[in-house]
Amino acid sequence: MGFFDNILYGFQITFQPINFLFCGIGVLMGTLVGVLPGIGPAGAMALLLPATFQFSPTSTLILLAGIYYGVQYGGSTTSILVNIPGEASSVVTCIDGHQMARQGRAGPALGIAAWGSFIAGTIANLGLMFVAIPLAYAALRLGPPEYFSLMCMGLIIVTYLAQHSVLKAIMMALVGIILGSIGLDLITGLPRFTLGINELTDGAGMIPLVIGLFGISEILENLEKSLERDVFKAPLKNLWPSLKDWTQAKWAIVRGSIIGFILGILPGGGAVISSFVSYAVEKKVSRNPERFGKGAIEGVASPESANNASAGASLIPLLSLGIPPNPIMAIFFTALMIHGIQPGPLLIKQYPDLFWGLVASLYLGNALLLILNLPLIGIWVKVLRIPYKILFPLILLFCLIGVYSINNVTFDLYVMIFFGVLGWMMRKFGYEPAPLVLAYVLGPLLENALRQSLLISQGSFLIFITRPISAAALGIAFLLLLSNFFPYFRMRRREYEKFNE
Amino acid sequence: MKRIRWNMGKGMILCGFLLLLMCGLSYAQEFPTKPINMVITFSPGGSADPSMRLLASKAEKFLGQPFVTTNNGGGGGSVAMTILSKERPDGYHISGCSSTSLIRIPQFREVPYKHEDFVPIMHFGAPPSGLVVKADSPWKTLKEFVEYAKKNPGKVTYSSMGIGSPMHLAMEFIAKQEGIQWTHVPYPGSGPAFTAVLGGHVTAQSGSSESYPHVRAGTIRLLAIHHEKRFKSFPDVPTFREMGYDFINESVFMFAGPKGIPPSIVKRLDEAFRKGMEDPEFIQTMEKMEIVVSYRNSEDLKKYLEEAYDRLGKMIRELKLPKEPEKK
Repeated sequence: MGFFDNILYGFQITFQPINFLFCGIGVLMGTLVGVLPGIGPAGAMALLLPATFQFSPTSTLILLAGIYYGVQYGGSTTSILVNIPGEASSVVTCIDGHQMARQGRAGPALGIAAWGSFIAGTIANLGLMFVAIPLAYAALRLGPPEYFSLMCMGLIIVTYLAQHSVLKAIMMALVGIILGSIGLDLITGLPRFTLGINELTDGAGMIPLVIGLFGISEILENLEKSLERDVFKAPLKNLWPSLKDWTQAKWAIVRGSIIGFILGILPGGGAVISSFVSYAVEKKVSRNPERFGKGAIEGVASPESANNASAGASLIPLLSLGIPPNPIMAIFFTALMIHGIQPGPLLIKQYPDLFWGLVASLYLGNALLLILNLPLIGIWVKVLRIPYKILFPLILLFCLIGVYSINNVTFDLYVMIFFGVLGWMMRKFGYEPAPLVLAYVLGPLLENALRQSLLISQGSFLIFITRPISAAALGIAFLLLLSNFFPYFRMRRREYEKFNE
Repeated sequence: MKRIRWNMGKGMILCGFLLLLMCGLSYAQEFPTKPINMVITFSPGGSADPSMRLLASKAEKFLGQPFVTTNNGGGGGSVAMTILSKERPDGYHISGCSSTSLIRIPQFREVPYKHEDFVPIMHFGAPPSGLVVKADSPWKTLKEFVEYAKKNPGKVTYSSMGIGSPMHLAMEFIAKQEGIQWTHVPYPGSGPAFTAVLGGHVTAQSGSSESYPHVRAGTIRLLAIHHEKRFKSFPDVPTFREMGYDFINESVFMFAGPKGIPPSIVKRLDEAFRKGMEDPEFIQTMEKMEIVVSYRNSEDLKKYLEEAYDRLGKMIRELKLPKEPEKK
């Protein structure tokens, strides 16, 4: 059977009324879940899962996938409009997205996020169809030493996230690493830095931390200002990205998609890291990086493309190897198991209807999301006109509900409030939360990879250099670190030349 | 006139609410008279959460009341168990948990409860576990693998979901009996641990069912399992006991409530779950999810847990596994 037969077969399955309906419901729910801060895709999927027992596994998977990438679309909305990330993967979108909204360019920001997501989703889908199996096997070659080196690269990127002071960014990253080490130590299985609090055994929790640092602190800061917000005053220029926006953003979208796709395949990587990395890369390659943090459209296009591409790509290890690379894919895994399908190397061969139906549904879902999101932009922008005294209590409520719904314990709310106050103080003193969040995610991965590598090598550090991929990654990390000093050298040289003249 | 009618309407709604409240408060003769809260001490995903939800939905038919199910997988289940230990022992607060959170966690670290603080209701099954290597490796049997490890001390590495887990203990059990030196590489969960053996970064994995599709596809070899009986799906794979290692994975998926639930209520719950286990959909789903079905009633389970607790404690001391120092 040729490739086109396969994809036609897939569309045949997807356009069955029930599957079409499920795809629509999935993306709609996903968008809503994405818009609401705190409530993540995992919770929504777990709630829906028992209701899908009666339907075919293909329909179930189409629904779950719809939710998953719908969330990536919706997450940017709250980031852009109110500077509160709807999902952890949209944290970095806040930086430039909200600045654009403040300049009255919420429409183009939302528009480029939607288009970027669409393009990235399509690229990821093409990757899923053509290179899924070889890529999944290639990713298997990355063991703990390679991970360690890659994470080193990731941590160096922290310095690019700095908008004002690099020193403060590094300090925040160190705080993030310390916070990330709260919880069970992997090697001994014993708790660290938990202060004897049982709830901290698994760490502070990603969602309470992010919602606190970004959401609650934003609300607190706004409480100080007068009720008249500058956002209202800025005239809404246009609702769509202009041609100039497109020329600025097009390569950012492509780069974001590729980065997201690659990081999405890696187990443990996922949407959060890829959004940060793509933003940093964009800032690095930009001719005028000083625009970043002040409403650069690339700063929205790139991370939003990256998180969508990584959502699509994370299906690859699940469908071709039976390995769920993140907790969301673990729910997909369970959904398949319940329907009696064992995700593994034989899945695509044994259940072509499932695989090709899902692939086709990803095209359909992405198109539906675009159709759904573009007209919604006009409505979302009007959210900005809701008076502050009504909007912000509502957002606070959603934050509380969302964070509570993860584990159903009040402790997570305390964590959120703690980080809210901390985040507010950080704003006062000019410390940025983004490097903290990235380091919080990378820190434990780095530590685990380091310790696992040394266990495997019996304590020899040579393992990081003798393995080629690891050595290459370390080399690139070193060059990246050096490149931070280049502008300094260049400046010195210019001064010297001037002096010569 | 209109105002009066409106007020009357409000009054009636209020009365209705009060009546509802009273219904909730009154304790009727026959348990249960209201929905039962069940917290599952696992996150969604994996096999524990769906199997417990499914069994609860089957037991509902025999109880006549629904379960209100929530998840809290924090701290390997210890967060939810701490909350449960403080609930009223009326049978309306129970948890779907694993024996891990009752008998294993309290032996390793400080938690605000002991396994005696709970009354076990029943257990319905256990997650499978065993030892796997890559299919292109030279070892066809556990014996060959052990012999290789003996001849090459320190060369063999194996991954597992963490220190102190039954999968880790199984390997250290062999190591002690045979005098082998091999290196344990812990991973955060069975999935990543399996990825490590599939990618060839460790020699073997002591893990759960995540490898079975690969065993069927012929890319991974299952050398032996940690259970009493051989699996139906892999009849050729021997158990550890058959190979001369007296170790079985004792963890079970179970239900428990806070200590002090009246025995009649425990019995009623136990019976409802046991009848639920006979449901064909439950039996089929357990097969699909590779869960080893087994049953013990409340009293037998209590005895089982106590014995397992002591056995585990002995092993921890013998193997000198790291423990959180006790507070004075």
